[in-house]
Amino acid sequence: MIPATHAEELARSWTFGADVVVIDLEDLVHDSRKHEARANVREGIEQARRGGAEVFVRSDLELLYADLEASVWRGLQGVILPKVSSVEQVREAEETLAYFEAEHGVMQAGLVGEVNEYDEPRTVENSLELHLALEDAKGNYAAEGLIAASPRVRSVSLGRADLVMDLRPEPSGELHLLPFLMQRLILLANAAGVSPIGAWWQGTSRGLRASPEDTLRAARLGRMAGFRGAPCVLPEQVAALNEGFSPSSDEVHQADRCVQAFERAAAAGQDCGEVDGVLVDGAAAAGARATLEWAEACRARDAFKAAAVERVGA
Amino acid sequence: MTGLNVRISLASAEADLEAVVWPGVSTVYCPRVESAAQLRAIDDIVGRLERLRGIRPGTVRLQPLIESARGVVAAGEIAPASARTDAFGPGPKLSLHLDAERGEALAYARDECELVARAFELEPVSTEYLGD
Repeated sequence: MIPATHAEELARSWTFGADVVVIDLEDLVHDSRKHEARANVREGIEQARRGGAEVFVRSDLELLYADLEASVWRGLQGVILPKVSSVEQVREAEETLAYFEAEHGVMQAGLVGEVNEYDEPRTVENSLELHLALEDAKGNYAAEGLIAASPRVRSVSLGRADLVMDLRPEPSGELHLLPFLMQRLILLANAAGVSPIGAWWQGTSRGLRASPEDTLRAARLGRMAGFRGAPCVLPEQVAALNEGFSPSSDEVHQADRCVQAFERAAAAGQDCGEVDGVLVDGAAAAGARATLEWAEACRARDAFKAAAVERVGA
Repeated sequence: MTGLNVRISLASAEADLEAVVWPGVSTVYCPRVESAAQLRAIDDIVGRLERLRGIRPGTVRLQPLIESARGVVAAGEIAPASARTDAFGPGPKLSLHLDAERGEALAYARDECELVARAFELEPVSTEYLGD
């Protein structure tokens, strides 16, 4: 996540290796610099996409019209709605987004190659998407309805810093309700078929600005809990998040053995296989296949980014 | 909070309220509330008694105690059901009615109550250990 005022960092963002670059117009930008920030977004989108990243803009909900007017341009993947807590806010964002899509002739950028053309039929799939950042008790409580409020909603996250402000931390700095809220959001996101985004930050690490070691740990724990990716603000954290959210080579190796054992057993007319004395039934084999698919998706995404970076060099 | 707090029984809510809603009572604890309708019914009776007995309308507060599975599931409807509610959370018999030990085993129910309380801007309180 890069503040839109940091033009120089935006210009380098294609080198960071991030799957997603978020250009921030909200909390990381002071009120007095919103105009200046918005002026950087259109070029920032082009720059960030050079490295193969999807580009999102985090808009201020109260400044939605001006923020989206400055942001809905070719190459934008979607918009992050921070501190969202009501269905009306999601609907308003959807309408504003649709208005500027039409006004600026923008559709969602395809991941590979060029941007879709305006005269292609408009569908939910090629429209810009919404990401909901639920940062207070009201928004979290209403999560199920908020996700269902628009077919453009594809992912959700918790905003830890704002949640701490809303819910007040323990003296330890830990937020005792956070594990519950994370599990609840992961459950609701999966039930609705959208991606839960976040990492399992520990009380002492500084979340979005944590060290690479703390970030890796938070990413691993986050993936185990069911998150599919996480945001950060320092370029040094990107590699740790990518590593933490990708299956390790050991995991891939083990999953591969499970799938093979199961398939060998099936070919021999048996119901279950066995790996290291542990039974591999149909469900275990399906889990192992999911790990392999996720690993392959991570690998393909990394290869895509590497190819994009190479094209910039050429 | 000043004045007297009273815990009524839902099984005899109307009779209990007739007996306790007098000037000086500040909060009525409502145990094992499981629906918004139950709390609204109590709210109505309290309102009538306030008028009859010369108590300024809205003085008597209601604190629903979440003490059962149905209560936890309906927490989001119970919390905003009465304008007399300022505080919300699990009650002392949650453990009994869920047949679970106090502490970690009730974390989900307790956390759900707290989220609901904060979502409706009520004070999250736990009276799980009330009476110990």
